[in-house]
Order: sequence, then C-alpha cells, then structure tokens
Amino acid sequence: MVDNVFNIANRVFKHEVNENSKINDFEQWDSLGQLTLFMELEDELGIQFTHEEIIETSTMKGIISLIKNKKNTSSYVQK
Amino acid sequence: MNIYTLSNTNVDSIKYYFSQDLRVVGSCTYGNYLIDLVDESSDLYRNNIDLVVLLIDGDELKITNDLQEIFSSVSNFLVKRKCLFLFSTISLRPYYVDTFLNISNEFEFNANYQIIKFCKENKSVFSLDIHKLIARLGSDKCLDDKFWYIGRIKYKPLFFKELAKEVYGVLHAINTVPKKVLVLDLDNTIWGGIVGEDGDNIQISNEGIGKIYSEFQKSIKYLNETGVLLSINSKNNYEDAVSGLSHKNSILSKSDFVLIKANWNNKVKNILEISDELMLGIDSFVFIDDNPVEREMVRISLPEVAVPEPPKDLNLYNQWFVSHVVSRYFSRVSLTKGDLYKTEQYKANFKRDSLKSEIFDVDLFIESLDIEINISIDDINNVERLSQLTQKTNQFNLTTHRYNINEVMKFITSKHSYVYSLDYKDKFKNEGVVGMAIVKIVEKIATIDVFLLSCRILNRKIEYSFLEEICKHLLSANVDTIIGNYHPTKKNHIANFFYSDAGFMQDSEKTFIKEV
Repeated sequence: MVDNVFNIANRVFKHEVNENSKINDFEQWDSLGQLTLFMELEDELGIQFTHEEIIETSTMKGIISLIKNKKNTSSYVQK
Repeated sequence: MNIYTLSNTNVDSIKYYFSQDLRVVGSCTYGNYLIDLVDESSDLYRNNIDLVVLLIDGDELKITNDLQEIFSSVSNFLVKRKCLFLFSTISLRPYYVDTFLNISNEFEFNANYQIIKFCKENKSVFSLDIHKLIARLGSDKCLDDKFWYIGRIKYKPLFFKELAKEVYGVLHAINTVPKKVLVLDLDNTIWGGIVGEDGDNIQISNEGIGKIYSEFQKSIKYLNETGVLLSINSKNNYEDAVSGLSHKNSILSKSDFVLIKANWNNKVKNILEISDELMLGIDSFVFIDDNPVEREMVRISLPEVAVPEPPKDLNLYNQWFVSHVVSRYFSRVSLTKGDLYKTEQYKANFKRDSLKSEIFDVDLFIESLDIEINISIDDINNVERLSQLTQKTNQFNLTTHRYNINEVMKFITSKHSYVYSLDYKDKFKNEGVVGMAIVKIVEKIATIDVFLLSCRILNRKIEYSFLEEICKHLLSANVDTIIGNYHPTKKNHIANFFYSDAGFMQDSEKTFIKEV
C-alpha cells in the first residue's frame, strides 16, 4: 500500500518523492499539486478525504499515516 | 509546445496529465480568463505561447452569460497574437432545477451552436468537444463536488486524462495532412458475401449483418461528399463488381468511385496503377480489405499506404471505421492548414470528367473547356519533360520510341529534325507540356518519328489540331511529303486510326502518307 502511494505521487508529480517529501519541496508540489495528488489518491485507492485532511496533510509521512488510519477504521469507503 | 490554459474554473491540474512535449507555461488566475485575453501585459501576451486551451464550464457560463464577450476577446487576442486556439464546447451538469422547462437544455444547445459556429469562422480556432467527451465518459465519472468546493476544480482525474488525450488528438489532426483516397475491397468489405458467387444475394440491407454493411457504405458516401476520393481494388470480374454496386440496396454506386480496379491482378499493382492514374502519391492512400493476406501484402510492398486493421467482431465495424479510420486519416481540420491547393487542382480533373458525362454533345463539351494550346519548336527548356513523355506514354503513342534526354537534345539541335512540344491549358487547369512530336527531314520528305499525347488530354481533338499545326510548319519549311508510322503495341490501339482519320493515305500496314 505504501509503495502504491509513492507510485501515485511520483506519477502525478513526475518527480521522485520520498517519505520526507513535503509540499513546496519542488515546483510540482504546490497547492495545486496538493489537490491533484489527493484527487488521484481518492481515485486510485478508493478512499475519501475530508476538506481539512486534504488541505492540512501536506507531508508524505502525514499522508501515509492518514491513509493507514483510514484503512483501519470504518471511514474506509469501498469503491 | 507551450500551452496557456484559460477557464472559468480551475483546470490547472491538466498540466499533470500532459507529456513533456506539451508544457503548460501559464494559466489564468481563477476568474480572470477574460482579463488575460484583453490585457496585453498579462502572461498570455508576454509568454511565447503556441497553443491556448480555453475550457468553459457551462454551469459557470450560465451564471455569467458572457459568451459574446468571450468571442470578441478571443478574436481580439488572435488579431494580436498568432497561435492555435482550442475552444471548448460546454456540458451542463445533467441535473437541472428546471428539468422539464428545458431552459438549461436550451442554453446548452444555443451556446454550443454558437461555439461551433465561432470555430468554423476562425481559421486558427478549433473546437475541443468536451460536451462529447463527457457524454462518452459519463458525467458522474467526470465531475467532482468536493474538489470544486475546496479548490474550484470541477473535474475528476479521469476527465483530465481524457481531456489531455483529446488535446493531443486535435493537435494530431491539425498537424497531419489528411489522406486523399480511400481504396476499398468489395466482397466482405463493403457488402457481405461474394458477389461473383452470391450474385444478388450479397448482404447489404436494413437487416442484421446487411445493415452493418449498409451503415458502412453510408459513412463512406458521407466521407466522399466531404472530399475524399473513392476507388475500388478487388479481385473480381469487372461486370460482377459493377453488378454488386448496382444492387438495389447499395448506398454506393459506380459513379461514386473515381476508379474501379476489379480484375485478377495483384492488389499492389492495382494500387500503383490507381496512384498513377490519379497522379496522387500512395502516401495519401488508405486501403481497407477484409482479407489479412491482401492487407499484409500491401503493408509489406507499399509501407506508405495506410492499411488499418479491421476489428475481429463485425459488430464493431462501423464504430471502428469512424473512430480509427476516419479520425486518424481523414480529419478535416488540416485542410484549412495544408494541401487545399493540391486538392483543388486535383478536383479539376474530376470536374472535367463529370462535365463530360453530363454533356453528350462532345463538340460542345470540348468548346466549353476553353482550351488553349501552344506549340513550341525545338525548345531546349522542355528537354527533360519531353524525354520523360517518350518514356512514360503508352496509350496515345504512335511509335513508342523511347528517347533519353541526350537523344532528344540531339533531335532539337539537329538541322535535320524538329521537336514539337505541346502546352495545354483549359478553364480548370494548366497541364503544362502534355504532347510532343519528333519529325525527321530528308530533303523534302518529313517522317514523323514520334507523335504522342498524354492520356490526360485525350478525346478533345487536340491530337488533330497538333498534327495540323505540325503539317503547316513543315509546309513552310519546304516539305512536300509527310510520312506517319503506326507501330501497334498492346497498349496503343487507341491510336490505331489516327493518321487515316487525319486525312493521311495508308501506304502499307504501318505507313501513312500525306502530300502537302
């Protein structure tokens, strides 16, 4: 699952992403990149995020733990 | 290619879906798309933009209702900056408060109608049909609510992916010279069954399999009406082929085809002949045949010819034809960019032929062509073309003597021979040098060594005028006897009676004499 998240991020940004990457580290991950990444994550993983999660979770570490949490709780939405 | 995106919503995400070759170098800030178009200090003006993509969201447009302002801003922009412009159609969300009042529907139809009209009227503006795109993908799969509220992004990733493809598709269509000729097999290609065996029972109808072929023929007919030339390349007896085309349910008829090659020759040879006779390169040909062996043979021998692979499932035949063949090879946008002149020039030949079938009085027909011929004698400038004519002309060629450039040159410079070249022009087209003669003189006797005319201008009595002018010239050069020879070959029987028709007396099997 974690690998998949990195794959999605790499694909969207066309830029190598690691677990320490965060918003504004490179050109493609700006606020628009942030939204596009979450659109893709929702689409690919079948998970829904709230407004706050999308706006505030702007590090790879944060994103991964957020997704892990979601997978473990009832907020997981089957696509 | 540098791209600038304009929209009344946030579509900037599209940049994540283009490959390296399309670079989004700028986009309007939210809600500023009209300002960018008119403000000459905006990034749109300052950057070096090759392509502008304007994506209009219909629901927003319905609120601002400023389509006319958009049109005038775009026109204004394009006066000042030369670049390609993609203008989207609109698609409203399919849930309306006014569902049964049809107000939204009416708005959508009207807006799209005006957008399409605008694109047609402006040479560098092409439509980006997101209305069709969303219809194809389904609006529930394209539209997003959450990201709309978070960041004014209206579309899901799927839409952006497909939109990027659509942009590539339009660019491909703009940059590709369309094919000119569709070459078709007959049996199991434009009808079901084998006409030579099934006769009247070939499948072409409004029922079942027959309907598949009937729809296929309709699309082809429509393609023909938009300017694509049709030709047949089929292993069949000619009479059988024509009888299939006159089947009572056939949509296509014999006259829709500019050339019909229904014979037992190999299809590669037929294609080369079609190319020769139409004077169009095989790289402007698309060949459709149900037989994989024939397709392969053409692909291997003539790689320039496009040979699309039909679907295995016949039910997909018509969808395949439109989405894979027409859109790939016959996209019409490029006609505004490219080969229009050639196509027009080419069509002139066909206008002439169609005129011929309508007007039965041949003399009247010839007169209506406003033919002008011009004969020059011993003109060195034409030497290459003249040699080429002796090499290539088979039909109306009395002796079929072939001469290379040096040999023609010798005839031109010699005092004992004349080389005549014939220029032809009519109201449709200037054909250039299309006829020639070489006459050898020994004292007062002239022998016509070469007399030929390109087939393009046959049956217009030019051959007689040409000969008459040559005789006049020879008379003025103190010749009293003119000898013409006819050497029959497999291909020149059309010239069989030429000298006798022109008033020469037959002297032997091959020799005709005129005393002047």
